[in-house]
Amino acid sequence: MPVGMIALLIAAAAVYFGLAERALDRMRLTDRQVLVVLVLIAVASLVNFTVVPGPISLRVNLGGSVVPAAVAVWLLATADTAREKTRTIVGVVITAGFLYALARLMPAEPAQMFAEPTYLFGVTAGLVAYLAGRSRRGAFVAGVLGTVVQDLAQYLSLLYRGVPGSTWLGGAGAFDTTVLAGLVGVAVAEMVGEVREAWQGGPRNRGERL
Amino acid sequence: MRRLWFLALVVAVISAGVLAGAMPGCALAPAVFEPPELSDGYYSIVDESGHPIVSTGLGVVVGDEFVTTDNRVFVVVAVRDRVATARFERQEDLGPYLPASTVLLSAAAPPAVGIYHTHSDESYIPSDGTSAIDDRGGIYDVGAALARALQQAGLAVLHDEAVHLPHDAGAYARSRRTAANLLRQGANVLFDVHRDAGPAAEYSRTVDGTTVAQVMLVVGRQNPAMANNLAFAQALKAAADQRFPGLIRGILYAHGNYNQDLSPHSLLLEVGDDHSQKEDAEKGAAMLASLVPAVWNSPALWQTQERISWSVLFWLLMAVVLGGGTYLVIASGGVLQAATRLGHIWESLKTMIRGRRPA
Repeated sequence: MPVGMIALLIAAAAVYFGLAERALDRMRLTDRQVLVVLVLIAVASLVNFTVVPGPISLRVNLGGSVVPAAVAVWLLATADTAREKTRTIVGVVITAGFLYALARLMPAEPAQMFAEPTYLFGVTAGLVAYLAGRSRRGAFVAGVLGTVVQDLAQYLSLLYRGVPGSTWLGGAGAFDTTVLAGLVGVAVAEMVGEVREAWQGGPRNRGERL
Repeated sequence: MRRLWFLALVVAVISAGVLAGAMPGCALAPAVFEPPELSDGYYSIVDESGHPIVSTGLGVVVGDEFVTTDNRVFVVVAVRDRVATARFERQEDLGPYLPASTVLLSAAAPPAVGIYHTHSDESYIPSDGTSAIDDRGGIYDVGAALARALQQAGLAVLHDEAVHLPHDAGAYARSRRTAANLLRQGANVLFDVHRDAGPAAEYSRTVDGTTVAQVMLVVGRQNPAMANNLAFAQALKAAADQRFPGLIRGILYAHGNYNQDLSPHSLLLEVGDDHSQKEDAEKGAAMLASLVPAVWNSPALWQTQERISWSVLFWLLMAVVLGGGTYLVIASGGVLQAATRLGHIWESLKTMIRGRRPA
């Protein structure tokens, strides 16, 4: 492969992981925790396994779904209040339902969509997750788990209809919609939070949790 | 001060959106007002005099480009009631892409080709009895024919028969996992094999004395690898024009990503349409497959892609600097504050390099 292409691939990956580091950093994780999560996602993206074999199979990529889902569950378990936990779980359900509906209501061809589906699903998941969870951590959890639940619903749909095929959870690894939805959720939460704060004329200490 | 910065940012974003929407060639705004694609319909692209250029089941929006069989480039300037009017832009010269050899050079590592089908249900009415099968459609047989021909040409082939049903807006998000997995397994080239929709017999041609279904190459306009993928499509068309004139129906430079950001050698192939004989589509796919080794050998392709990659890298770095700078200014509350913060970061870096803790 030409040097230019290799340099471009390395630069693109560096920018992606740089942005991911910034997003994870906003969730009250320590620098070491952020590094461990990113390394785990990157390395585990190389690992695939089949959960349900057979004509209607369910395949999983470790870095694209299990690692981010485990981080999401950990964030959920360590949430400060029962109210925050409940709100985040509701956010997961709403995000999953919204993504499922979006896939069926939008036109099938990307040319007919107002935005590219690869990014649209991530952005939509992030936006809905933030509105439902109202926190950076809640947005990440709802974005990641909402996408996983939506994919499982897709698998159950194939199972119910008896259509042979394989469903992937996080199959695109670090670049999967699952990871993207979580990161975009945090970015949206950050942006909305900053705009609200700026609109109010500066930070207000009202005991609000991020 | 922070409030002012954010007001400015919001106004800038809204203005950019409005301006972009008003610009001819903008792929974003017109699509919002387009009617959704009809399962039984197709779009017709005509020139400014109303003469037909091509028909396709893919949606067409303002800004899309189409390179015809004889390499005339048209740009879509208006779309109304599924009729797209296109302006003649230029005559493309694909000569520089012509491959030096028609077989794999011994020194060149043969590519592994990944094949998959985002729209699993796509089928051929004359052969399969219907245009869509709610399972593995006839398109999988065309993918298998493509795979066999590639193997005969000496290439390694990974044909992933994953089903991505239903045929809805989530299909490309689902097939993205398949495409990424093919790359992880070592594929250097990705073909997402589809069939088009259109009027009867539109794709049928006699090529090299045989009746075949033509192949249309589709390159997504919304991905960072688009220029590289377009060069790959042009090299493939140049080789086809030389060996099998008429085989390639054209190159559609279309609104969308089509998961082509994953690889610089990734194309969507429309092999025939729903009215084509599946056997003709299989023959067309096999002809295309026989050209891949020659294209992989083309020094012009690699030189072009090398140049494109450096150019994209430059713009990526510019975007990082501009985006990071904007973020820094907003987060710091102003240009002066951002400059001060940068100064502190620089001092910290210097101290770190010298091995002392910052004061």
